[in-house]
Amino acid sequence: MEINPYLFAVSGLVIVFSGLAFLSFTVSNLHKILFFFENFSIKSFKEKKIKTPSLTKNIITETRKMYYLSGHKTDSFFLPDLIEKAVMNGQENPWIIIDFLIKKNLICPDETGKFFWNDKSACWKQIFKK
Amino acid sequence: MENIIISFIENTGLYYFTYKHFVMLLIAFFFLYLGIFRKYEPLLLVPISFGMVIGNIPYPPSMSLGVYSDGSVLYYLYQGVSQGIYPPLIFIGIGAMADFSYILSRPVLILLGAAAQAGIFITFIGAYYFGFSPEESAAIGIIGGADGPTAIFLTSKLAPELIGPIAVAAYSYMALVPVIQPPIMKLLTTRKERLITMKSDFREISKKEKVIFPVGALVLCCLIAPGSLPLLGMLFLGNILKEAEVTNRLAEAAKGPLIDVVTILLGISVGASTQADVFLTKKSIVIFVLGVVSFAVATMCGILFAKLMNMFLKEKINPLIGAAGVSAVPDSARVAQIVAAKENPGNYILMHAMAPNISGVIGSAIAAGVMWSLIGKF
Repeated sequence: MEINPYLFAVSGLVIVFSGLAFLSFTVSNLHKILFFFENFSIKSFKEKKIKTPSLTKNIITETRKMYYLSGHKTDSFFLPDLIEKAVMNGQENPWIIIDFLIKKNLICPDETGKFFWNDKSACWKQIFKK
Repeated sequence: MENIIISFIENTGLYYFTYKHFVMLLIAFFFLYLGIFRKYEPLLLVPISFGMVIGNIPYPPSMSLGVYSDGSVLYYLYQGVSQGIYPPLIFIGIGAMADFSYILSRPVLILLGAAAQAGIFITFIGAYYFGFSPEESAAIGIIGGADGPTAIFLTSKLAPELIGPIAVAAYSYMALVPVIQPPIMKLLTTRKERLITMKSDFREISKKEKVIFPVGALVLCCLIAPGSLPLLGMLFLGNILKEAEVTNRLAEAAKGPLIDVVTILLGISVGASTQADVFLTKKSIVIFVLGVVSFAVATMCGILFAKLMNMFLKEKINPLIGAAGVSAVPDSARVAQIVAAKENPGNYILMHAMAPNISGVIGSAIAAGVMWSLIGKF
């Protein structure tokens, strides 16, 4: 049987796109769906605002942990590697810490896309204050 | 005495050595160099290129040594490739390493992972008009997914005779992401676009969401494209082992020893399958050319779709992250960060680029499943 390559390509792409679009839509509403099922009431769903929990309980402590997790402090590291270590060590939201580290200049990027700990940041005193 | 000497010579590899073996050995040495000294995807390139060395040492036809010789050790190792066993095993490990929080935080970026898959289908058309069969065209197109295991899996199902060149092309281009993508990124974006900064206020993802996601995503994706079940099933299995937090031992095994062992076996057998007489053909050269085209088109589609999204989004996204929609994880996300940082060293888009990057893995697996199921009808 002859194949129409254009039709095949378009239909294939449409399936892939619709699959991921549906996934995207579901994920966008996942926390709402969870909230709904946790509260079992449409009324309460409308009335209550979805709670956005405070992101870090103690950012200083978490930053210290992140610093120790990076291993050799003088070696540069890739952010995803550090984040993975942090997640494996129980940090629930490493991005918040990373964001803090970047904003406070505690870590800086080098030309290869890796990061290194910036000793010159004024924030270190605060972090390692007893 | 003379007969013994002649017999000895006829039983050496040198007797069967041709210029084709020489060329293949040179290519293998070059890949070894790239892997070891230039650190281009060493975990993949080193076993593959060493396998190429093994596969291109000639031997007498009476001996059963190569991957294509029934009964040899390499033949049995190669069954994991030709029967499509290794790729799903690798996907368990990838799943156990993957962090889907990026996707859960920014679901809209999943669409970039879908857009980049256009490269696969556009290349399919090109390969078809180059005279390849629909099955071969699909296997060539999937190189654009920049996902080695997926490329090997689909090729083993549709065009097993092309596994050697397609696997080598797929892994080589994955290794060459930092070389191939930046010029395309710069060509398709203005400096102003590359300077776009994105807010890093990531939503906290609850454990429930992290656990529900692999189950829900598997059901959703595989109901649409059941052909992707072997890959996505293993990917999400690996992820739930990690996120459930009650199967840490299994998650550790999946992302450590399992993926390492399978990578070695896959690399060595794919490399050894590139025997000069099978590999050095005009077809292989065309596959390499179409492969890089597929990869480039996928990158372009991701970037252009990001620009299209910017026409509708209030908070603009940096179009460079569209290039990360090809699923070379995490290299293409790193490349997006490096290109953005060249314009503004304080611009951090890496975490945003991880979302399309991870969704690209899912997208290319779906694309492979779709091609497998659709091509089967013709």
